[in-house]
Amino acid sequence: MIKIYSTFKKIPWTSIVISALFLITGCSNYPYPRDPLNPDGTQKIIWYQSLEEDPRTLDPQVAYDTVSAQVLFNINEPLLQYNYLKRQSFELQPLLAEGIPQRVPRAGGGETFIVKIKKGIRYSDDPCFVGGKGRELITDDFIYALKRIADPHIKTPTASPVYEPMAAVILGMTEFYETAQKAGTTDYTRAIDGLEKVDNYTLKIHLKSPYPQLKYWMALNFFAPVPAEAVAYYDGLEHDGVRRDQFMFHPVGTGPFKLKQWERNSNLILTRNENYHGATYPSSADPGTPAKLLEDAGKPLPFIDEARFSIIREAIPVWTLFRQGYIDSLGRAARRQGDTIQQVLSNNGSLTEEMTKSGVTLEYVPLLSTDYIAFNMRDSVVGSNKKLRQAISMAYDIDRFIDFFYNGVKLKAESLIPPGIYGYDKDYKNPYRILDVAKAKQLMKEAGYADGIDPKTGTPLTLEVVYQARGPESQREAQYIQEQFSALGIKANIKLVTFAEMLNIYDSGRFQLTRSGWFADYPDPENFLFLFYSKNSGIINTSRYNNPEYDRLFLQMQNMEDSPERLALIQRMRQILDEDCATIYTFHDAYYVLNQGWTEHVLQHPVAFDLLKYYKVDPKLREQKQQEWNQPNYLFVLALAGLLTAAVIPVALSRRDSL
Amino acid sequence: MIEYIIRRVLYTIPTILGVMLLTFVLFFMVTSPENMAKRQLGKNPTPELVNNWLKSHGYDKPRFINLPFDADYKADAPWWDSQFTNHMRSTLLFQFGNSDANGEDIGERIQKGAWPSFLIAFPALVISLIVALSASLIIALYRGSYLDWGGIFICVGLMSIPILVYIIAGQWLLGLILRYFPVFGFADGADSLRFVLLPVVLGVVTALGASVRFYRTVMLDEIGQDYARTARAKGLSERVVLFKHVLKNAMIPVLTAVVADLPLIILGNVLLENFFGIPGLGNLTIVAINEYDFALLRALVFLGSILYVFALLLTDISYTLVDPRVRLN
Repeated sequence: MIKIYSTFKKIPWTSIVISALFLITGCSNYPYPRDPLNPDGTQKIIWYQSLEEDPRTLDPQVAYDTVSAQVLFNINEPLLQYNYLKRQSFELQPLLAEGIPQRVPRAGGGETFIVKIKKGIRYSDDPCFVGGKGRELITDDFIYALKRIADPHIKTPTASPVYEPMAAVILGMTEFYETAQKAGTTDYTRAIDGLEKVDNYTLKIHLKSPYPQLKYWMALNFFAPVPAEAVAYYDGLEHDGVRRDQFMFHPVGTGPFKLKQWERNSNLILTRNENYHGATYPSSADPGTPAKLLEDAGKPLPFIDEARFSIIREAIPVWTLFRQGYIDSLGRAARRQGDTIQQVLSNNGSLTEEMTKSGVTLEYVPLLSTDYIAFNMRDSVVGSNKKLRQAISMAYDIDRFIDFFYNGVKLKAESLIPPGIYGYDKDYKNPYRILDVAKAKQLMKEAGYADGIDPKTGTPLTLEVVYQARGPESQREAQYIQEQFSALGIKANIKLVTFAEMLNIYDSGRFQLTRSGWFADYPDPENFLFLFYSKNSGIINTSRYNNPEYDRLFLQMQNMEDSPERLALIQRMRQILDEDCATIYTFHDAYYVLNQGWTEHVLQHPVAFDLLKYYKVDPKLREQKQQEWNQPNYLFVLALAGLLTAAVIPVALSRRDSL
Repeated sequence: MIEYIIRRVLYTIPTILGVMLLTFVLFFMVTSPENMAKRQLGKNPTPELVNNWLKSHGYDKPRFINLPFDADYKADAPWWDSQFTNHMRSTLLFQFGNSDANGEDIGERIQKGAWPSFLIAFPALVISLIVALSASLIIALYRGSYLDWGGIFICVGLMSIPILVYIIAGQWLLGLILRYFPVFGFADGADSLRFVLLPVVLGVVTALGASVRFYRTVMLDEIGQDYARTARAKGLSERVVLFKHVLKNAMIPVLTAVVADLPLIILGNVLLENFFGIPGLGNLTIVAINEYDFALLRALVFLGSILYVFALLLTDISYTLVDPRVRLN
């Protein structure tokens, strides 16, 4: 017995345990649970991607951020959608609607949108429905959804840009909102005059005044129908000992996918909606679209069974997972990978040979956005002195800024409207965005600040620039602004603030200059030109720009269809804005996305987010490449163990006393 | 001893109240309830929506005390009906309520997050303790040799490198180049093992430098004591002297260091969990800060302060167990 114990003691248990752990895990760096099978035993086709944070909400009437949209649009469909392959001029197509809604004038002014809803569309199966089976989509669901926009007790992005434009045009919406606010609760049995149910498949939306942009709203999540029973069922309370999710965590829709799992702070999985009404891959595309993108034209969607999103806040693990082949596309998360992607680009802007060999493809994604530094037009110094604003604008070198901070990826902005939106002119040069420091100095003199000296104090003119602190690069960007202003002798004091403080500052107008910008909700010039409409002063019209002629032209332009007349108005408005120099236009956003070689027709879209249904993946090729790229290398461990042994043995042997 | 424990438990009350007050004051020095509301309500909420949010989350009340000088004074409410007292009361009663950001039950989130944190922090603590003690004993055994000098050099090196560098280098080397471990993710059950290995390895490595160096000093102090010399004079082998006599006497500083780390078993490691996607409480702390979720943050801070206070009490009690000369009175 003693012998056995003694032998037992001699066994190097620690080494055995560690070795066993290594063996158990198989030394694999595979980051997901093993792929589950379909009910019929076939391998599931899964799409792997990352999200930079949890979606803030999956409530269609509340979500207003790109992370939520990337998930939500695949579950909840609106009435219309954009043609996936048309980006040179965006084309709206029916989705839940039977055709593009008809516009008819209303007696006494205004107009009515007649919306025909497709018959036979069913929600995904869910416990909120009788028997757990998804019921048919009807007009009431749209009316209910639109009432939710006017409910002050849910977190719909009220004011501009969602509730206010809707309330301004849809009859009775303001009254609904105000009654609910006064009562402290919302009565959904109360009607909104502008929402008329004709039958189960026809909805009329009555507007106080013509509003052609409503068609674009019909392609946004705010117009996605919601079954009232889902909102009632998912109340976040405990029922029969089981706590139900809140509705914001449990969307129920008609889209190609439904929510299978959402482990907050970890992962989110979408799976096929068994009741999906079906859609086909687009057959028409922009001229010059590669033929490969049209190979699947007319084929039923979606191509994948599941989409697995890992919630990864840090950029480094995302890049590592992509290099290992465990993420199919960097997707929108690529916006945070600018510097890393730059390392795999050669001087001519194409991918390096190593990346090309591994099959990775590169996509350049221009966004419908404009970034600018806004002057406060109500400020006694910059607001009242046009020459001063023009001088600063002329001396601000944005090309170097884009090269230095964004590796030249973003596009210099000459004016407010970005490429892709009606009214953009690629040949237009803003006279006050041509870099000319000498002329800028002359303008400073004319403005009363020769050599940047404030005549009242005899010292350099000091301006405060409020800048949102987004990370370490914000400090460097702020230094860049200071350097640019100093070329004119102006001293720029930079105030770095948080996002919430920034909103307060936009709201209150307590600034001289601040960074601002806009991403399009929909591809219409109105969605940019409204940024300088005087009635939007505040968070939207950050500059507090107020020009009666501009306002008049805006009201005229916003209700027009695209035409030479509308274009003339837009050009005149651009001229007014550029001459007044209420902002220093900086850039239109753009970024690169990398996709793995086993993916097909993966494209980003500037305004559409219902993209998963178009994505295709070759799981066999993926598995093969993953195995090829991720064979463990054991030499290192052996070398390390040898090194440690070699270090210990000589000194151990040199001991004379017994241990 | 019972009297001592009761007295120490009573001392914890002002300590925890102080921590709660400090958290409240610091949080609202950085931001305001209005900013929190705007953060939660997205872009451009109407004043009514902000007010509705403040009211439904109890942030419409006076900050500390409901008296007429406060702008938010409510005539129909008692003087103690304020944000601070309400938060304090519910937290002390362990009624953490719902998250300010998304309305989720905080108690449930903490329960869910505790296990993943434990899976990383507990093995890391135990392994680093075993490795550090063994390494320090070996270094002490070979004191004065190149192993000693080399060991100290490596320890200083390990201590000088920030944890973020270990994480990034660890993910690159052990995940991407050598391909041993997943760099991100988590799973339930036995499958969780492969996801926790690399964070545990890094947790151990980051802790080694400081602890080996500290334990080596402790061991060397003890090795020079009279009892160690006597033990050697009795003819005991160096191994027995070290493991039976020296190690036992070195336990007090070892316990002080280890027990102070015990709360981390539950509270997790913020950076490791964030970079490896471990849905633990460390990760939750980052979410609470990013989302301006005061309700969640105050619950985590409260939990942390309680765990620390009780860990320190446990340290005192454990002294009596390892050293009969120590008396608690």
